Amino acid sequence: MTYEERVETFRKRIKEGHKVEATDWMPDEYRARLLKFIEMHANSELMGALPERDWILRAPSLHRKLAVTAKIQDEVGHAQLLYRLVEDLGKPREKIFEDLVQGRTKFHNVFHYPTHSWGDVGIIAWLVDGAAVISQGALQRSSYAPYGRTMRRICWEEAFHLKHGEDIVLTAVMGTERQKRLMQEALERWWEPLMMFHGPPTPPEKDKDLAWGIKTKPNEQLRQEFLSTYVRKIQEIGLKIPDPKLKFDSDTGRWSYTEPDWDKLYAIVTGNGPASKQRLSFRRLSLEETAWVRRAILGERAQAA
Amino acid sequence: MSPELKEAYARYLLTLADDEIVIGYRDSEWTGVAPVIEEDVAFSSLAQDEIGHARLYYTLAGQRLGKDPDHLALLRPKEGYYHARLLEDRTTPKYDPGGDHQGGGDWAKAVARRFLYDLFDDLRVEGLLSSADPELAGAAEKIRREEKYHLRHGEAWWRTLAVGSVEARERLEAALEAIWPDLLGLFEPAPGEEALVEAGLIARTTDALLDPWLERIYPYFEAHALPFPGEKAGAEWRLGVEARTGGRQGIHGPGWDELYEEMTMVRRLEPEGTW
Amino acid sequence: MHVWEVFRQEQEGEPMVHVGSVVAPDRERAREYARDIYSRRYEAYRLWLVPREAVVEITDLDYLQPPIDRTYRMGVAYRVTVEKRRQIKRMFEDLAKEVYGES
Repeated sequence: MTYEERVETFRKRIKEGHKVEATDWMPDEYRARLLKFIEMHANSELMGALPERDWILRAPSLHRKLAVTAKIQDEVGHAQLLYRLVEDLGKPREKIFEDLVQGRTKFHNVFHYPTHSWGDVGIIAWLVDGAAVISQGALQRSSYAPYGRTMRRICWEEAFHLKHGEDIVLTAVMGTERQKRLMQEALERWWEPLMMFHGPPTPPEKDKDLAWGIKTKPNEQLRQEFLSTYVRKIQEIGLKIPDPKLKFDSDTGRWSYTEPDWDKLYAIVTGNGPASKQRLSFRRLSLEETAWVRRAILGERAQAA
Repeated sequence: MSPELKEAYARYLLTLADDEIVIGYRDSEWTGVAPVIEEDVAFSSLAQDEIGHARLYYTLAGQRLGKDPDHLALLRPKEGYYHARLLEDRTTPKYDPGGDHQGGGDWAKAVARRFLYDLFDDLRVEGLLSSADPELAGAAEKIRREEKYHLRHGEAWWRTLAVGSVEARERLEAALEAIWPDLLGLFEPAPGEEALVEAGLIARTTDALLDPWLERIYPYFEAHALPFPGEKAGAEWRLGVEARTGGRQGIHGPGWDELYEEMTMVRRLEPEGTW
Repeated sequence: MHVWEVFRQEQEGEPMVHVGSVVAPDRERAREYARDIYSRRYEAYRLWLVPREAVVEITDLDYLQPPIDRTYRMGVAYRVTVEKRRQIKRMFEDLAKEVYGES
């Protein structure tokens, strides 16, 4: 069989719903796309720990302190699961981190923004994680089975994050005006990034990741599902969504909204977001300051051998 | 229980809780920035365990003082915390939203501090197992079941740093040299501990833990020929370092100023609010 | 660094199921990392850690699911026994009619 024929057979099997395992043969393009897709996801989990990490010390009760720490620990745990997949696809961890801090690989738009208050902690855990669960839920059926299995595990844990986030928001909304304002202001800050979260409405036929079955739902469908799941829940608790054009059209069964500026999204994910440089320089600093520890681990192994 | 004894007991419980919460807070800062991702997750679990232990102690203290555990943890005046000074310094780099981050993260200090503190705390908790207060004895029994894994973690890292590379060893030695005065500060007793021993609430005063602790830590230094600032003459330990005390009296350093500011920041917005 | 494959038993008596892997410098830390990555929320009753090199993989489908009929090993091949019982019952009924006449 020629290479092209093998690729065609592979494509056909994926279309029929067959799954691929790490040790199976796969076309170079599939491996490259898969690696890039999962690496960006993994980077996002790791970089996502940073904006929330600022609030680990500041949580306003012992319960919240434990829950916030556990939540961020989960995000790093998710990064571990995903980086293991990337490593198994052939990219060593040191190289992954080098590319990340050099800005050669990307991470998700929502982690390029600063956090300003405890309100951000609630809104991120509830709605950013909520948006993430919508796409990760669809990824459970990815053609790459190790990724799909990892998504099942991650979604299970994200379910706790949503409850934790929603509880922070509800508690504040039931509290004083000041507490409620923290949540309203945070919602206003996060709405635009949330609307950008699932990416531009690329026509499904042009989306290569969709064609390879790496992902299973088009961007716009994910955004519509997000709006259907959360808009009512947000409005019911008296928070106002800062988009006058947002409405559900019962004839088409679709939400209409103010079109996000997709050039802005591109600028953000390529390292020009409001906190991109600070986050990457902090990641670089923490990697540099711990490089000697990784060398020591390898040294100890060398002696033991 | 006489009012004096009751006061001394509450103070002792707060001291236990403050030690645990402060090291728990400081170690939780490694979440997201530890040397290896797997270790990141592991170290965060240790930090969460400590906060959990602090919560148990605050709950016991709160029952005696008629106060809410969260109030005790987050709403006391800054000079009303009695943790040892060893535990209050930051060991991670600090994020600055403006981008001028502060470096100085020190995994060697984090690991050495945690291991030697855990060995101290293990002896202290051992002395609570037979407490006349069954609630404290019960808490101590559960805490010990978690702490035994902390000791395993500490041993593994102690070995890695001592033998992994010349650089690692130098960093470990430098960290140890810097923290010795504060390590000895752990053994500063809280006011009224003798009465607590007499009443059977605790087995030993905190200063009486020093010798058993030295006996216990010395083999870890000896195994890797790490410098030890003292020697045993007969049954007596002679140490070449002075303890830096004051923590148990509420006297702290800049590390605490920074931590207190952060940990109370949100709660102070609405101190009596529900969060 | 070494890769350990992690298998988890979620409840007593249930099978050990592969859940992922950890990277660690030694067995001791592999244990810790496996606990923290795969059982932070009481998910495990038991964990197995297996060095990746120890795993032998068989993926050859001709070997695992041979192409020539093996259904004689399986229940599905014996549905016909139900029909046979029915036939035997009918046979006895016919015989009884013959001996005792219609009743």
